[in-house]
Amino acid sequence: MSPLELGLPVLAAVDRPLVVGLVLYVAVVLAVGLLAARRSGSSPREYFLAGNGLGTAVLFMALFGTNCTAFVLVGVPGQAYHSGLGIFSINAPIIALGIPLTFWAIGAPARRLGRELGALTPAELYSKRLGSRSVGLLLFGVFALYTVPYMVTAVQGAAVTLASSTEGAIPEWLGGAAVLAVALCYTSIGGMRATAWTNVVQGVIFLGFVLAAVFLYARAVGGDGGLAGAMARLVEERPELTTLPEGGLFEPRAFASWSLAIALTVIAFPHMLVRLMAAESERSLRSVCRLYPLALVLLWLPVVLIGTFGALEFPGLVGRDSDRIFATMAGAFLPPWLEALSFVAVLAAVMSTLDAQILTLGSMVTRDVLDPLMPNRREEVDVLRGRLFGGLLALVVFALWRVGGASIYSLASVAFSGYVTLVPTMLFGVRWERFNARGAVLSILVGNGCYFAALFAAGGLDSAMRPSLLGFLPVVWGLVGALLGALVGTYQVPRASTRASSP
Amino acid sequence: MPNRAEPNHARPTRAVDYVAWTGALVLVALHLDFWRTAQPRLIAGLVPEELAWRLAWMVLATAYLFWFTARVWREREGKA
Repeated sequence: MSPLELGLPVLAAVDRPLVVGLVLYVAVVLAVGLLAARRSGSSPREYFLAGNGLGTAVLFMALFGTNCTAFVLVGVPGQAYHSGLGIFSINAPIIALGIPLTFWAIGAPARRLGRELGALTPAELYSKRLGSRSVGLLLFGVFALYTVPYMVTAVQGAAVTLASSTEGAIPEWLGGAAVLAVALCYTSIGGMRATAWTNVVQGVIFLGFVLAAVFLYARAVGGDGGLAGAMARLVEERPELTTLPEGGLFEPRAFASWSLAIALTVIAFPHMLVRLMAAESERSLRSVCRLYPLALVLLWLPVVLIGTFGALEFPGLVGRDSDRIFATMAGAFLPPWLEALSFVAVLAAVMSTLDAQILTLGSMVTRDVLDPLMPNRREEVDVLRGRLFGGLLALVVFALWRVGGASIYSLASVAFSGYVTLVPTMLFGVRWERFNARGAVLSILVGNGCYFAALFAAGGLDSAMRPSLLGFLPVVWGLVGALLGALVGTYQVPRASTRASSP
Repeated sequence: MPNRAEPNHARPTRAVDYVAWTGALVLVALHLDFWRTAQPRLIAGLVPEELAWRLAWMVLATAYLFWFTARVWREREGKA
């Protein structure tokens, strides 16, 4: 039966393998969402945190899927096209160490405290721990400020991918709306459990695809020599792509700054921290930390090689045009069904992050903004509100995407490093007994003030990856400001009154 | 928050703490290896030198994390 007969006129104009891939993908994630919903109870803890029941395998895939955005699949090959294996060098190793260590330093105690205090969101956790609604509201505000633009760029990436893969048959507005609607649908049905389970499927799709694709590309580029042949050709024809480039992000102080940013930022994504809070046990968290480096190699090495091999086969792309290399390589070297899978892989990567963001921000509006205003509400109402605000958030993201223009994308590039300004509050809040609300508020305000000042000193909102004062990236100054704010604010309050306000 | 008054059988010794800090600092120093210059050549006919260095670093980091999660990160189930 053709797509037209199925009542899907738009898809009739699209290649059959892609139609099959898209329909299958949507069917599977919705089915998994439904299945998860049937296993879930009706309490807010069930909906927002899967009843604190994510075991090692699901937790790992939920974290990995949420962590991996479309940028890794499309943007990283685009960067590797220009900078070669240096893109692997500057990113993969330090996050393989940094992410597990921050899971230990912040994630594990946050999970314990969250259970102890009955907190279901990151902002609620710190609000209760520090005995201050202001901290919760401020955290929510900064989380939203940095996460919403991120969501807008994810929707944009998925929409462009769908439009280009279908040669315009699915217009961008429809693709973006469809991606948001599907993610919202399974998230609303089953909450955290649904997003975690679908992340398993999505992770298998994009990880499986890049692993299969890189060997096929290596065979195309290196001939019978396969991967060894492709590497030999790379060293011979483009030796500069096999060493660290000079200048820009690879200049020592910028390299060190970026290492700091990328190692610390992930734990400060609220949609990552909330997954850690949903872990079944600390043993699960430890196991995840052991698996993380291997998974990062399996993902990052292929995507960097895809861009690098692309530079051999399709030289001459300038600037951001290189972001097309992922699709160009798929079109040139993969059979139609695997090419279709490449687009599904991008959608899977987008949705695996988007669902977590919808759930987490929706839960924070419910728990951190509305609940304190209505102390006598029934707890079950929170789930309904979470669904409602998830839907409203999706509408806001769609509207911002359609009318926001370039300013939204500038803000998204600011967000990645901006999250780092929250790390001192998140660390001290769970590890330092004396840390207090004043320290948290001052840390967040001073940190973000310093970060934005350094951004403008470096040239404006687009300058998150350009050297600022003394040659360091703006993120370093944001972190320094946040640390100083935390220390000054905390020591302003006498120890006795700090203890009184602690749980 | 960890309760200092409560006996914590899982707490690692000070020596283990020192090893953990030193290990992390050594890894960071090896990552920020601005003294090193990789040549455009293949190791074992397969892996470019720069990539081989980074992969070796990641093997080291993985070994460190296995040790860290076993010796430093003790479970506190039931205590929070």
